[in-house]
Amino acid sequence: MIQTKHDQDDTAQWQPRIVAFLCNWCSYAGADLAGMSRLSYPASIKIIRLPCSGKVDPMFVLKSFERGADMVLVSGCHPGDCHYTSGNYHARRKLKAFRELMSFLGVDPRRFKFSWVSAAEGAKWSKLVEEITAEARELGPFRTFPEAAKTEASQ
Amino acid sequence: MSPEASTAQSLAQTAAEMLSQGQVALVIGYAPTEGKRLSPPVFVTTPEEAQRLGFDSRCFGNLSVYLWSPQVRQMGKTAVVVKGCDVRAVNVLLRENVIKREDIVLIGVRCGGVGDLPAHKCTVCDCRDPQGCDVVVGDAVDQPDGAAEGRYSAAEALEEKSLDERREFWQRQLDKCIRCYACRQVCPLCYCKRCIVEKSTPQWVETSAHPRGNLSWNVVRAFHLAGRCVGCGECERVCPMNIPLGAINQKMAKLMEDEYDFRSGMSPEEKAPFTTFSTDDTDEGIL
Amino acid sequence: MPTNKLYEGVSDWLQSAVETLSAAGMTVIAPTQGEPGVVNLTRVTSAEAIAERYDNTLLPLKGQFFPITETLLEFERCEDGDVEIQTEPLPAPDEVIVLGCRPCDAAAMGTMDKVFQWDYDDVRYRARRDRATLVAFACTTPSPECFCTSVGGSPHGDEGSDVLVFGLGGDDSGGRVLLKVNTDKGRQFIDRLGDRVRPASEGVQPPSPPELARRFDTDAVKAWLDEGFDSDFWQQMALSCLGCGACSFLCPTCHCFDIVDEATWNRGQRRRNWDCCSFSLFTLHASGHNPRPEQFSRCRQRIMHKFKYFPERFGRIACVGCGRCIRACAAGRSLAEVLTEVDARQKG
Repeated sequence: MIQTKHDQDDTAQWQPRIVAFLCNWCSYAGADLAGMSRLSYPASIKIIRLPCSGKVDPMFVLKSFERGADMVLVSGCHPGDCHYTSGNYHARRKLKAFRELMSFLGVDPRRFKFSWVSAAEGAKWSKLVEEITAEARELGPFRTFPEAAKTEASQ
Repeated sequence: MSPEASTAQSLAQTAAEMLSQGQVALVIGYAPTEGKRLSPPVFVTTPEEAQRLGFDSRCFGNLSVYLWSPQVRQMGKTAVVVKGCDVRAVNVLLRENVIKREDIVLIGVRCGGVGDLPAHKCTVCDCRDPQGCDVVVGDAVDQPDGAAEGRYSAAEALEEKSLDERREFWQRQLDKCIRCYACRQVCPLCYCKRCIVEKSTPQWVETSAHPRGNLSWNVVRAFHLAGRCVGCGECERVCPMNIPLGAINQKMAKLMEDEYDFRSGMSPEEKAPFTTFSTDDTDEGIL
Repeated sequence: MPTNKLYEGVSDWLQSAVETLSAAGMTVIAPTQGEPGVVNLTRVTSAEAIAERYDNTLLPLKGQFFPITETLLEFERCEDGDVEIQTEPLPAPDEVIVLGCRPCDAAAMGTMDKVFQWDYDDVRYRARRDRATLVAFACTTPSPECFCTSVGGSPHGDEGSDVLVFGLGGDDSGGRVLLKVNTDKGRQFIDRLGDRVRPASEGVQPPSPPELARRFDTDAVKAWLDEGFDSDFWQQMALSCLGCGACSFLCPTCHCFDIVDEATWNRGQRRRNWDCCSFSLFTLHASGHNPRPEQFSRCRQRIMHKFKYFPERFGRIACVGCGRCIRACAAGRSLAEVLTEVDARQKG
């Protein structure tokens, strides 16, 4: 029997799945520092390293949700610190608009997080992951994101 | 002579002159036809055919969509009949370097609004007198006062609803989508040679007409038009399933106006919000 | 078995039909009004939901048998790395009664049947089709875009329907009706209605169909198409085509499909989706070569397929003149006008 993604959501061991897109220069290094500093944080987060937060196409976020993410995080350098000067400023505009669009279409904006974490902020990273994991757990499995099956009314 | 007849005459005359003097090889305009719901586009290449040109309240189409069509381009320099709102789309095509100003001739036509009951965009229109055209024809039309009122009414009505209500609303609406891509094909600004939906390695957008694929497609379409859409409303008009796409476009246009004081297509020199940034942009909502 | 093929329905025959058939475990599909001005075929359990006056349904009947998207199989990557594949079980629908499609849509099923039972017997299609009875409601007022009479049909056409219903009171289905039985399935349908229908009185005949002028001659069209592949007519007629799929997707006879695999996490489905020859991707090869590189060649293909290739292969035109493509066209294009022009060219 092939299950749907929600079958595993019903078990008591359910853990939120958080996909995180981190820029190589700040946030990824920050997460690295957290590790090297032996700061622990939940394993619910799956990190995808990108050159810059400006590289994050809204499509990445959408695709993560489609494939079963309960929450998506994009994290980059603080304003002014971008390795490529302005990638994070572009990301800020784009992702704000994207969040508004998703919310307009009825996708819970709390599922989509955006943060600035520098290479020196290992502690901030570990605390951030703790917090958003707790929030994701509270929100529960992302059941309201549309599934592939047609609803009966539309058949 | 009725205003419509005199506009038709000026259009025919203008087009015939341009064609006979060799200024252009092709004139794209409207051919109002008895008994049709829509005055279809007509492609005129000889002065004689120019008699078919006209203008009435059934001229919904935004003919700037043809300006970058490969078939049209190979026919040579093209004149196109544009309403004031259509000029905004031309401006975006110019600012994005899709077309060059010297390759086209704009025949503006003053428009009192299209549709039996005026379309929403016409009730809030502030560009009835086309700007930046080479020729403008038609009698003067009244510009409604207070046009900015209600510009984004469809989006605002939905914004007032709760997240759950909006989700239900859009799930019901997007469920109807049959993925015919009429919204994309009719859009003057959807000129990508290969749309992301058509890319299959990897398949970014699922092509199946199920709720997940339909949400994905409609998000992508709306987002790629954010800061570019000029609100011509063609996508919503042509949607065979009557999905209120205009509301999504309005939402993004409203955001651009509220946040960046920007309305797309007001001039060919403008800089779109997503091609630039400000260090003062808000950090609100960022952890 | 009675030889009389005409029956009269008593005034509440429709209500009774919906109730009787539903009670017998059948699915009744009928035209219902959803949004203002939009009528579509949906499942009903009461005759009150059935739309009274409508030209035709927005979406064609074909979708009941050939859904817009349909899962063919599912696959999953297991823990040990193997991939498990499960074929989607065949659709096992209840017996379906389509109560109120138009004669053109019923006739279109003849085209669909040919394709789906041609070189490959499409079991998924047939599973649905075999269990369906089509009760068509004859048209009283064709819409301005209709041209069924030009492609061999009629507002009162029999083809494809198991029963054809004529309104005698001027409207479609309410009031007095005459039911004409066309097939054995139709006879079974009549039998189920019991005393709500009775053999028509001597001399009662179906009303004559509404006037709908023929606009072109399909033989002349075919004759021109036989020679006209390279004509410059195509470039000229296709200029306004925007290349969307609205005409094909709303067409009751267009049947092209695409097969895609869609996966999430570690499992996915193989689906069959409607496709359309107007899309540039339809014929694009992996090499980058596209045998139909321009929009005009795609427009030409759509017309050639319906009026030349299909008749050559299956002996019938793949168009029933429902006019949906004309109503849906973003650029106000009209297939009937194009064919009228072709007809005129052939006749010089």
